Amino acid sequence: MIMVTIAVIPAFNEADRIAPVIAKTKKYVDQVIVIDDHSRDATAVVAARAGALTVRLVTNMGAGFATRTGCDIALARGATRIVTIDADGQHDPAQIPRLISALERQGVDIVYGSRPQRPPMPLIKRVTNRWGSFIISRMFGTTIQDTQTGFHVFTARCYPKLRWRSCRYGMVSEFVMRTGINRLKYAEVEIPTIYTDKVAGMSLKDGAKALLKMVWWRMRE
Amino acid sequence: MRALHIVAIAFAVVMLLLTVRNYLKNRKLATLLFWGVVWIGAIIATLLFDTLKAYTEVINVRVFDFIVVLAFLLLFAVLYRLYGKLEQLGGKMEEMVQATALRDAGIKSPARRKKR
Repeated sequence: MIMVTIAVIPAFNEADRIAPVIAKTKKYVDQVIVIDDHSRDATAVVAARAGALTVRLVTNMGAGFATRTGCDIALARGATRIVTIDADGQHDPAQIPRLISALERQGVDIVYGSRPQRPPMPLIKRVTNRWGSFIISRMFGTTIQDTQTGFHVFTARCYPKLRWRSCRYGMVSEFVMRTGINRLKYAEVEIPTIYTDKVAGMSLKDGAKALLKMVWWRMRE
Repeated sequence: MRALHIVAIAFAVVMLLLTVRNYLKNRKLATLLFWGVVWIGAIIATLLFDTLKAYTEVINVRVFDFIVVLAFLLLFAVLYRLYGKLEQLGGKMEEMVQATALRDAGIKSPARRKKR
C-alpha cells in the first residue's frame, strides 16, 4: 500500500513565520495543506508562495475548525497518514520522521509529539499543562503527558473516530478524549520545545473553558 | 390610573406598532401573532389591573407579583428559544464555511458527490 503523508497547518496571522515552517515540513511529507483561518495579514499569500495547498476560510472559525477542515481535505486527497503541526514555528518539522517512525514501529493509531514539561516552556504553561494533562488523563483513561500539544501524526483510518467537534483550542483536549474513549492505540515522542515571545497558543481562559468541556464530555460519554 | 400604568401601556403600544411594522416588512405571521398576543395581553392586564386583583387574591398573590412572574417565565422561554436558534445558526455557519473551503480545495462535497 502506498503511504501518502499530508501535513495540515492551521494558521492565523502567521505571515512572518509560516514560510520556513512550510519549507521545512515539505521535506518530510508528500503535501502540505495550510488552512488560513481568515487572517488579517498575508498568511494565505505567503503560504501559497511557499508551495502549500492553501485554503482561506471565509471567516475566522478557530484553530480546531481549521485543523479539522485541513484533515478532511487531506483525507479527500488520499492521505494515509496525517500530520498536524503549528504554523508559529513552535514545532520543529524535522521531528516528523521520528513521529512517523514511532507510528509504524509501534503499530499505533496516533503519535503525540510531547513537549518536555521544563524550561524553556514558560512556568505558567508548565503548571497548567501538568494539571490539565493529569485531570484529562484520569478522566479518559489515557497516560498522555502533554495533552495540549498540537503536533500529532495519525493514520487516516482512525480519523473518523478522532474527528473532533471543537472549533477552537478545545480541539487538542477533545483529541485526547476521543483517543481514550475510542481506545485508540497511541504513543508519545518527546520533541524539543521551541518558545519565542510571540508564540501563540491557549490562553488561561481557553484552558479553563477546555477543562469545563472535558467534564461535560466525561458526563456525556 | 397611576403613572406606572401609563408608562407600561405606552411601552406596550410602541412595541405593538413595531411588531406590526416588522410584519409588514417580513410577512412573518407567526411572529406577529405571538408578539401581538404578548403586547395586547400586557395592555389588557394593565387596564384591568384592579379587576385582576380579585383573581390573584384567590391564590394569595399580588397582581404585580403575578405579572412579574409571568413576564420572567416568558423571558426565559424566549431566551431558551434564542439559545437554540443560535446553536442552530452556528452549526449552519460551520457547514457553509466547511463546504466553501472544500470547494476552494477542489473537493466535491459529499452531497454533491451523491447526486451523481
